[in-house]
Amino acid sequence: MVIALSIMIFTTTCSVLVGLRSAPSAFAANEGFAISSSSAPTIFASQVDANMVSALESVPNITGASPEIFAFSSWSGESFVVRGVILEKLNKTGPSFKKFDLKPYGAVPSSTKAYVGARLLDRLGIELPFTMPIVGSYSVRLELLNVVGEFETGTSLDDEMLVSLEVARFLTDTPSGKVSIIRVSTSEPEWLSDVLSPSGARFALFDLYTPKGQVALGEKTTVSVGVRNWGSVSGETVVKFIADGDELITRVTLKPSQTDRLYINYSSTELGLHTIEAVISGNFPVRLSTNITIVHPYLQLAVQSMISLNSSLSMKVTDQRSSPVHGVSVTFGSTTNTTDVDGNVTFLADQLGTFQAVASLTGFTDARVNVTIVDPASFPASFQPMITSFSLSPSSVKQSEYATGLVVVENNGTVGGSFNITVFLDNGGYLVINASLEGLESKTVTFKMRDLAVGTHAVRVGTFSRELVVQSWISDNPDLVQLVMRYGGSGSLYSAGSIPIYQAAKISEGNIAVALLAIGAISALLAALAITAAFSKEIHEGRRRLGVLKTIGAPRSAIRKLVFSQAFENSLAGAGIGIALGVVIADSISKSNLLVLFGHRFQLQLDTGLLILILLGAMIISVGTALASAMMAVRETAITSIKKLEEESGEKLDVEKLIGDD
Amino acid sequence: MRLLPLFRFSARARSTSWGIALCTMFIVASFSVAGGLETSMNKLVGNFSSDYSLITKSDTNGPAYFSATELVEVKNKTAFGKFEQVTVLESGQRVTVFTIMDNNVNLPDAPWTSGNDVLVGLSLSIQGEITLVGNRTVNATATTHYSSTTFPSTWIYASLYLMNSLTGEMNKYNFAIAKGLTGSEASGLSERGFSVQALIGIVQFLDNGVKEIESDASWVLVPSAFVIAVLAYSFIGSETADRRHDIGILKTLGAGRRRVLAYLLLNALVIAAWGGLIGVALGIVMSYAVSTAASAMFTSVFILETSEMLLVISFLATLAAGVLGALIPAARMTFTSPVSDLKEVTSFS
Repeated sequence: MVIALSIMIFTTTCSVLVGLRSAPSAFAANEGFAISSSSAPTIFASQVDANMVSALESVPNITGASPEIFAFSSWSGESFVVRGVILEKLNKTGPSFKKFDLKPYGAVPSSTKAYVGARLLDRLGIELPFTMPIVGSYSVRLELLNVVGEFETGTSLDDEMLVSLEVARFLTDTPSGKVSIIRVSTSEPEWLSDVLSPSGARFALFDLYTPKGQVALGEKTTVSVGVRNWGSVSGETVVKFIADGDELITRVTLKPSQTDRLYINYSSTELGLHTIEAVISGNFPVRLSTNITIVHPYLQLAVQSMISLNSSLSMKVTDQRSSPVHGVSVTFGSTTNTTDVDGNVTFLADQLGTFQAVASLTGFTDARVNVTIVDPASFPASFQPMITSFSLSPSSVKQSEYATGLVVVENNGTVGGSFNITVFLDNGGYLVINASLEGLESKTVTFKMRDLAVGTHAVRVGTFSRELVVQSWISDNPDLVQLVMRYGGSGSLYSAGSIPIYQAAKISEGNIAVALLAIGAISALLAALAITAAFSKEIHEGRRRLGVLKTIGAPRSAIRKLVFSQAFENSLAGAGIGIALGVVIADSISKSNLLVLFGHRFQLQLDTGLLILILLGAMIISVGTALASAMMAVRETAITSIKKLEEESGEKLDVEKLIGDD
Repeated sequence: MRLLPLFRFSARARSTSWGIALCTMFIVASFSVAGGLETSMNKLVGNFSSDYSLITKSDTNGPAYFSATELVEVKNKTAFGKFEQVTVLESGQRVTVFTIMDNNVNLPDAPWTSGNDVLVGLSLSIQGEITLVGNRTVNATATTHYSSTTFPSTWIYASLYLMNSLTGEMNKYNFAIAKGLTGSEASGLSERGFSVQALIGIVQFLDNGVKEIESDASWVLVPSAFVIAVLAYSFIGSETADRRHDIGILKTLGAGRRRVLAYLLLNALVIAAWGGLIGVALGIVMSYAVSTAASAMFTSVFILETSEMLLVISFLATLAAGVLGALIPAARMTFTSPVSDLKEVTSFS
């Protein structure tokens, strides 16, 4: 019984430890592949580009790609993961729903519908439909969810709540265009595994980058491209830059998983749009391209459009790169001054009326701006803000780049105040900026627009509307690995079982493996100890019989063989029962809610590997304990076996003393 | 009463103590892993601060209304609010309308309006005169947008006056946000049926995660205690087998059953205590050794941390398992008759 119980405990412990080891896969819904950001310090901070989803879906053999955002919340003392998903894409990627029950509910905002996993519903103890206030994950936020359905998948998803991607994005403050992970399913897992673990050197180009989309005539700019060896051995590849019909060939040698960035200088004496390509050939060819517009150098003049009479009027002159320009002649009315090293120049607004300011320098296109000098007495004694102009540059950006908006606001009254400027994107609010203005003051307010979806957007401020084109990074027929590198930046592809959740505690998986292995080894040692102790007792009780056998001439080898065979037989029989009982108990623990880790119930994954490990462990324990028992049995001489020695008996029982005492 | 000379710290007792020490060391090491995870988690939690707590009360389908007097002890640090899901008649949109009376908390970017004017979130394109249909129907004027990081951009902010008209619930609220709630205040509210959540979810999520890990780690007591019990069982079983004759003599001389049982269990207690002390010491040493070695081997910060309370629990568990394991052979020995004890084994000593 002791043997069976010991092995049972060993089996249960090993099963639980392996379950804990694979607990991270809960965040990947226990199946498929997941793309996450490996550079993020924790899984909670993982962010990958959501645009990769559509690109992934166009890759042959990829059957589903589900963008997901993790939010973390609690209700009634129960913590759980709130997973932002697009239900159709989740359904396509898996896991499949065994049950999806919608409860009758009234009209609710569609984006706030939530679906609760069957096990989580048990833990929360609520009745559906249920309106649940839910808090932000990392900052003070509040949202109202309408839990209208229950689902069951048989995976770790059953411990979670599914919400729309928008709600999860709000709760976690995840930027638009980003998601926590993308889960990927494939019809060819072997192909995907081969892509992920190639046997040779394989190269991919990514992030063809130019710091400026617009460059002046003859001005030098840098073009760079990332190249990565995602194969398993070192190798060399040729990267070709093609610009204006010229080719520049660069050779690069990279170790496995090594990344390098190649740079070239580019300039052109021809105005207009120029295309620059970076190309590698071979079995996995990649061709990336980017555009640069060559423009004539020009000046920009920053000055307020309205100023009070007898005020000092400051102007700043910059070039097309927004760098200050020294020595520029600026004419305002009848006065001409020259800019200082910071590009600044000052005039006195001493006449009423509208005058043109002109900035000129040889080699540059002039800049012209109208300035009106007004009498403050003729303006109302109130706060009269208005938006007088709005520009957005550049008007076309690549994904991950940003556009800068400039809004000029003026106060046409003599009383100061503050004013909310609302920026609309495609008719939805994008940003509200608060501007404070003194009497008759004019101010330029800037803002940045980033992480916008690919396509043409309308940006509106006041009565001004501008168009912004966001171009995709994708080249034709993108390879999966290129996609991962390009979109995720440092994104990485993992199998479901290896999401680094333990990063949550800033602990490496190596440490956890060591800790769990150590606990497993000690567990085996303890089981062996218990069995040895039990055998030791049995041998002790049978030492006289063994002593008799020795006395009548049984050799040590025969005694050893006799004890070993009996002990081994008992061990094996007990181990068999113990393993069976251990598996049943581990399964019961798995089915109960006894062990919970990061909001997910522990799940037993009793696969062949684990069974072999347990059987091997049980066999080693059986052989080891049987050997130890045999050694104990032959250690004693025939005499000590039959007759107890003085030293073993210890202090003699002093009967007279005892009687005297009582 | 004199101690009966039954206990001997023999080679068997020493080896049993070392076995028990190994088990205790295992318990301490496992608790240390859990303690280390807790410390790491607490460091992570320290990156987030949550001064604010959301207070709600639930009925069967969601937040229920409550009066401000029910939160009288935290009233001075609480902002009371209402939300209601309604339909905007003109567009047919379902939206959440809310208000919050932020006199005491100073929430970041809390909006404000009065009368029938409402402010709409940035994602909504609602303007002008609108009709809100909830429990009751009210007319409102969408004057401008509100921008808030706390409330979604799909909500509509209304005045308390308008929300009272819309819900028909006068002087009642269905949510509150408190600032700087103490642990005892939060517990008191929970006991009265309120749900209290930190307004930053990750804090409570990680906090509960730590508790889950601690709870999971306590399961390690089961295998270790079992082995300790088996060791004690084997030790006392062998001891009673060896010393049955002596024990028979003691019984013959008038030693009561309770007294014999007590001395045998005391025997087990002594070796369990000795093994437990060694195990606790070894566990501490091993925890720090593994912690140092792992931190040197891997670039991450991985610590094993022991706490006094866990050491006491480990030691007490060792003692309890030792005594329980010894109970069966000790009881068996206690209930045998002195005659059979003296007859069964002839002492050679």
